[in-house]
Amino acid sequence: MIPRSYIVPLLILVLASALLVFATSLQLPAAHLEEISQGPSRLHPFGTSAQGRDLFALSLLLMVRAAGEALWATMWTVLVGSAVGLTGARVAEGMIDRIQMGIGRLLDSISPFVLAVCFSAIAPRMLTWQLGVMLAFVAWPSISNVIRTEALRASKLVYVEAARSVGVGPARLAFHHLLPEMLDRIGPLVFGVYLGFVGIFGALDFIGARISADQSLGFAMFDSTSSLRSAPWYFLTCFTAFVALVLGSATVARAFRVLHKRLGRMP
Amino acid sequence: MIDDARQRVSRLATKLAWYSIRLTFWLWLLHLLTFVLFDLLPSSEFRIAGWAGIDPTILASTRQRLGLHGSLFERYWAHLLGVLHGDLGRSIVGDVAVSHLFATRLFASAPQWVASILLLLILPVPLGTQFCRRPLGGLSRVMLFSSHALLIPQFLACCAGQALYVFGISRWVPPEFDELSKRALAVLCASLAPLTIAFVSAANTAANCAEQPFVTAHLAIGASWQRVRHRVMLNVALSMRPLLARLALFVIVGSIFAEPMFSINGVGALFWDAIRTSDIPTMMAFVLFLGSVTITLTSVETTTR
Repeated sequence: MIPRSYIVPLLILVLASALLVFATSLQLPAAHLEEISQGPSRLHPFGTSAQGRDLFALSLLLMVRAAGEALWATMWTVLVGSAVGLTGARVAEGMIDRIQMGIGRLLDSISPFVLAVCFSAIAPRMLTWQLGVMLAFVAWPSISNVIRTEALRASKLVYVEAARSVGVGPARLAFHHLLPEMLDRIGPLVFGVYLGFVGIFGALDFIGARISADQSLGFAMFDSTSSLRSAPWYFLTCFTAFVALVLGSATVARAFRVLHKRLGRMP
Repeated sequence: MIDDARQRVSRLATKLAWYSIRLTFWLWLLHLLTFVLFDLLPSSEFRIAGWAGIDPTILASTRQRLGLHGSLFERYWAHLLGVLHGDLGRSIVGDVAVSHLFATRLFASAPQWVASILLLLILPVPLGTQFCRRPLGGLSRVMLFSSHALLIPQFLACCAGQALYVFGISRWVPPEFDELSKRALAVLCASLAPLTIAFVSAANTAANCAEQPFVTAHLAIGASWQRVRHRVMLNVALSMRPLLARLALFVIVGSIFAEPMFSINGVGALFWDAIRTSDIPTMMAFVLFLGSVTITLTSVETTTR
């Protein structure tokens, strides 16, 4: 039986997967060569891009794509970070724990963005899902450190000690007792990681490190800065889309948090 | 008395030697990790040939030219010796020594970094200490909450900075101050996120000041609120030491976006160019430089704790 505290995280997981599939299946709005860089009009309320695409439809699509990419990378990071953090807490102060802390410290000192940019520049044909998985292997310290600390704290709680003393195994202990206890604290952190990935993917395409960069919000931002004087609406639309993505994600995250609290209180 | 002083000096020397060994160990680990990460990844010929592969003879000669021949251990040893002698390899673009490129570009970046660090040292603590009030008013709460909005991704801040330059500053500022205004904007854009982090951290620490025992004790013995605020400022400044390395990391990463946007030929712009041309030796040098700065600052902070 799945604990009640996992309902909302599972719901997020399902929605994120659906969003990712939906985002990858979307096609860019049609480009009309006769409508290149046109200002706002009744037909195109936000104007058109340098390729003659309707900016409203384009920014909406790119927002969904950016959210899908960031969610995918976040899911993997949470998975890897949780596994490393729980293992670290189980063998706390041991050799494996010290090694994982050391690697975490080193990766933290370089910044996941710089490593992601290097990966993308060396292998620009890497697909988004591959990059997401790769990012998880450099960004896990942000999650694992908190999970490790929380697991160590939670493992001293009376009911956890009781469960351990009656012979509950480590996997069952982690799934049924440790993780539900931490969910309230991990939630905001996961949202922070998600926002970080929105920024990282945006920045990657802004620099132009990926080959698929011509279909993303970051590249649109870069493209729009080159025509700031001639087409300011292009820049304004892309900038607003990015801000709307962050604010929209914050609103959705808050709604999920409220839902999680309500479900958690149910008998 | 003299024996006491000698003992103290000896203890300090031992402590410093121990910290130096630890720092060297961490820097060696950083080099190992960077080398392994870059060596295990598909190399730049992948960009040209893709999964189809490339002619082994051409590949062998290219690897020979770039100093990538031999076993993994041989390559690692050669690279480590090179780094110890200040040789970071040769840039794929232009076949110039990376260390020379870095040295020339550092001069262009140093003023921005120094200005950003000065901003970070001067602004956040006094501004954050303004939130040391009892009770914290509604307006202060709103201000503190809305300051989080400045935590936008650094490339977005640079875009906003460029828009500000194009639509405002370039029209009002006389041409002789154009270069200066660009540099000032580059500093502001690169340090906006670290400034906000430092400010929010300082303000949150200061906002809890009334609950701290030393504040209650000072007020109880009749100290003025102004005096208490000075003590709080010192406390806030000390509490922010662990953030120093992270803030420096943000400033350097921010320069990757700020320098190309405002046409400054610094280290950030060098890294941007290296990414666009898959110049692995230059990218490695940047990663090593960034990691070394962060690790050294963290070690210094741990030593002085």
